[in-house]
Amino acid sequence: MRKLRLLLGDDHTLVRHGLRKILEEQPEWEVVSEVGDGREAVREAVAHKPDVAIIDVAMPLLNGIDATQQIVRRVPETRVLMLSMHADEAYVMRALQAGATGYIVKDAAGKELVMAIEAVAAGRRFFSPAIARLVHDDQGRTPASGFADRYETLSMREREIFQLIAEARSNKEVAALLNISPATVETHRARILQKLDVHNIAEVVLYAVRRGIIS
Amino acid sequence: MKRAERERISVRIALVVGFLGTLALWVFTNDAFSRRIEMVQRDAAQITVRYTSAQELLSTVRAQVLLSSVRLRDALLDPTTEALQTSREQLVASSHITAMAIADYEPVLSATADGAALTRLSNEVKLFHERALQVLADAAGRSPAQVRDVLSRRIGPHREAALTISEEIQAINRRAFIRQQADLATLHRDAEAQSRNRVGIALVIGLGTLLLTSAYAGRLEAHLRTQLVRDARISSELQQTTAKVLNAQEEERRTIARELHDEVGQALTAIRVELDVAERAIESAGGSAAPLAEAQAITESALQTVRNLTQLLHPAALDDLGLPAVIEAALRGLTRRHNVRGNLEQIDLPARLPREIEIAAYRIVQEGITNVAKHARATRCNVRLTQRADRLLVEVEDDGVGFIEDTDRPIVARGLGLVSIRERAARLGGTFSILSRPGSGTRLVVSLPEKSLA
Repeated sequence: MRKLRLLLGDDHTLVRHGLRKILEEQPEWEVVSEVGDGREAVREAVAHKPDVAIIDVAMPLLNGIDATQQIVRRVPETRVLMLSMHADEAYVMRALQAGATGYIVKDAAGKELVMAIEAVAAGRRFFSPAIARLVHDDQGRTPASGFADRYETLSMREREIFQLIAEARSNKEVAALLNISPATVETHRARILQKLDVHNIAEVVLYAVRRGIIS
Repeated sequence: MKRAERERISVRIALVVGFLGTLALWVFTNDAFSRRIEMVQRDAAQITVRYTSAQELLSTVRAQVLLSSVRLRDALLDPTTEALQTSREQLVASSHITAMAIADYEPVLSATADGAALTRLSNEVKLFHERALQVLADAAGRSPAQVRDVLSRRIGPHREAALTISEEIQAINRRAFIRQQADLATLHRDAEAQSRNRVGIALVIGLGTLLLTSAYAGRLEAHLRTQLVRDARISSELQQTTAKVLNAQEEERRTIARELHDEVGQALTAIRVELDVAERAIESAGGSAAPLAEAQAITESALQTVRNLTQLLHPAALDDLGLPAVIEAALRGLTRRHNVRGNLEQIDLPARLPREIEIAAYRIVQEGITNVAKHARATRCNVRLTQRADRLLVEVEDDGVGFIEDTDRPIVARGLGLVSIRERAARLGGTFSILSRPGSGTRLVVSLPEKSLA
């Protein structure tokens, strides 16, 4: 069986070493490259085409988010797991917009990294529970009811598609899974954005995380 | 200050004196001139009357003498009793008339030395009449030759003398009159010249006052202008200094936050990861990792402290992601927690702005959004960032309950949030305004100049 090939990008050597130890515990995994800045990350990703690139948000020369954007564009087969010190919605949003599949906070890496990589490698989304908590309720209050109600306006088919989109499936994959045409998926997609009153897929994903539809 | 005060007072006194002097001189000159002219004219009229009457009287004397002389000759050449009688009566009347005329005679000028001439004239006329009467008395029986002889010898000289003297006096009078007229003309000219001079002096004083006034006004103006320029410079320097201090402060906070995050934060993260790795290693070897739990908790709490501290010092997301991203996150928080639909509008906004502007704009929007959440009871909140040529316009708008704009009520009373926004804007040399009406929402507009930070 082919090993899962990983790229690890973090400018803090101490953290990187710790993370590497965790990755090396997994016999089926192989760290093909270890980098300390964003530009190197892009170069190495292009060179090795890893299955999963673990990228720190804050890196010198080219920040992790911009690096992610370039990796996703230039190496479509590589999935990016964003690694960050910040359990901050603005970062999560930008990471999602840049094309990251998962987002975990660094201090939880010891416990979540393995799970996250497994999920992302399988094409599923993964967010640290801290992120889900954050977007769900910053101050221990339940989300305003009017917002939660919007999900209820989605039809069953729309909810299905909503979940698949949130799980990072492309229109084509969704079409194949549900046995409908990609154009129909696109129509549903637009309706969903409209009904939920959101502007892009990143917000859909956050919405899903908040609703607990995806982890 | 004392000197300036004294100077101000003395300049005022000088102005008042100047104006009053000009006015007084003007009035006085006008009055004096008209009085003088009136006097001269009166004198001239008087003299003319006297002159005319004097000449008339003298002419009467002459005419009477000539007439008497002709009548006498006629009577003597044809000595009828009737003719002689008529001539005698005529001579008496003539003598009377001439005597009256000479008595009525007034010298044209008191200074004229014609008294002696007049006496001589009077004598000659008197003699003429006396001789004429004598001749008439002895007229009977004279031959024409005798008559002519008598006439030319006894009457002629006196007649000629009277005529000559009267002409002399007339000539003297005429000369005196002409001189007098010339004197009057000179007097008139002098009066005119004098009043012209006085008007000139009044004009000079007036002009001087005007010059003094304008010079003083000019000096005041110049003084005021320098003062204004200095004030503007001081205030701009103060503003720049404040802005610099503020920037330095933000910069320092940023550096500390960075340092804390990068060094302490990452080290703690590494420890946290290592602890997790150790835990798993111990557990897979069959041991108990329980003793590590406390270390993990301490590390976790320390990390949380670092995170809170850095966030408080400087929002890292702002540096990493830029203004729109963090504002959007704040608006999503508003939507989620308060069910207020948020929207960010960007007009001509460049990818990144100067750091000072970003942090100021971020804190202002944060404060604005907090106000909307706390007080507005709104359903929508619109944030607009507009990049102008030299300034960033930050607007936070809601459709909430609004409030009564009351300029008398200090802004402090409306909550500390607004005060801090205004302070922040002012320290960067920007402006702050808030527009609201009950029932029609609130609009907060802050303008941040970029060049004040240069």
